[in-house]
Amino acid sequence: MSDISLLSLYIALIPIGFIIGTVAGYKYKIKKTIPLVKFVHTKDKEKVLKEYGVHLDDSAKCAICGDTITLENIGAVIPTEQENVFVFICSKSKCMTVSDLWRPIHKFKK
Amino acid sequence: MALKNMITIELLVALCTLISFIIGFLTAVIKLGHSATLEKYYKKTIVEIIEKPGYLPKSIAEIPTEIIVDTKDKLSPLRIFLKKKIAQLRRKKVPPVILIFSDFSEEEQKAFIIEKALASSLTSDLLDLDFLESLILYLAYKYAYESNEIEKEVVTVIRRDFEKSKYRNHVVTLDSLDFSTSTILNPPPEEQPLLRNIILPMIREKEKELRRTGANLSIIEKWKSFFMTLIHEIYSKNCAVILIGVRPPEQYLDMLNEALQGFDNILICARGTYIRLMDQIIQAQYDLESSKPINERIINNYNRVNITGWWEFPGEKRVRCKWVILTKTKFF
Repeated sequence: MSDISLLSLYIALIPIGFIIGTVAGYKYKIKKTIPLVKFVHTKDKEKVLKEYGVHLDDSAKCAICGDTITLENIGAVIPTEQENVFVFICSKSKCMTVSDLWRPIHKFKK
Repeated sequence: MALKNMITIELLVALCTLISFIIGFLTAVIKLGHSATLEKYYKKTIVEIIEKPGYLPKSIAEIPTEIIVDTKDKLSPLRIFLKKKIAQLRRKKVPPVILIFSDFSEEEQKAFIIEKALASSLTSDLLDLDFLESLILYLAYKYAYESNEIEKEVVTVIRRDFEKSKYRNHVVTLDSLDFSTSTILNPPPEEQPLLRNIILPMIREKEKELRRTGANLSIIEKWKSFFMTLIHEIYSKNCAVILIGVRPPEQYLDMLNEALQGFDNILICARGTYIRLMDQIIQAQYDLESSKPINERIINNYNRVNITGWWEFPGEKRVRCKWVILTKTKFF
């Protein structure tokens, strides 16, 4: 193969590499999520829970300690990939500290 | 004609000024205010975790490198709208909102954000929740204390939380260099805090393996019990630690012999090419005792637990790693 043909081949490979790189980059980027965290004052609990369609019943348990979640001890509400299904964390400082708030939303990447 | 041109130029200037003003205003909405500060705190902590070795990143790819915070400022709806639009343009997804109910002060919110950044990278199923809490708060406190950019009030809040945690003495001791020098039978010249360089990487690698193999809850709980006992034994100085490296094999064999005489637990670790040497030394001990009657073989009183994985620290070469734990307690 002559030098010119080789050079043309290399030049042709540049856009191909660029396209592959862009597609790979796009795939990687689209997987990234940015969690949105909202701090809510305890006096607004009821209003905000209603606004976001969160209903507390006996099945609502803290994902860390297993305590039943009530309006008094609710610490955090994390959405899941299923609509109207939430992960709850109670307001105990240990549960609030060790909980990985982003864990349930990792599934949103898929 | 000249007048018409002048009017056009004046209109253009006015338009440019208006556009600049709008851009400036929107940038201020996004970049200034308490919510923006919280977002910066999160980003800085994550960068610190990723760039500086010593923390325990479970997998960098799994940790969001940025978050959007809504603290109910007056301009909050506009700010969130803009942030979401920017995220969309960057092809990033903003999942539904995570609600945090609390009457936190501004300093407490900043402390909470730092703790969350660490919690997201430290979560482990193989650690007791109380220990995990102490570990997260210790690393948050250490990070905030050493950082020049974190306000004193925020450091005080994290310190207050840390001082209330159950295992604070354990984590501080296990991360201390003096303690590691006195516990490792052959302390190397470089800094080797036990918590950072031996205990946490070992737990992380085992956790990865258990996840990969789809281990059930009973297996996970057994390993949790094993690691928590080991941590307690190391803290109580009832566990000898030997690091296999460049010394002659006879020296390590002597160390192992010495440890078998005086400790109920022995943790031996090796990296890269030294793994083979470690296996040979342990085998040599078995061979050495094989000539003795069975009831006099000391090493037979110990159960052997092997953990293999990778030594993965940011900025360091990734190498194979193996931990062998000889313990008189029967776990499995």
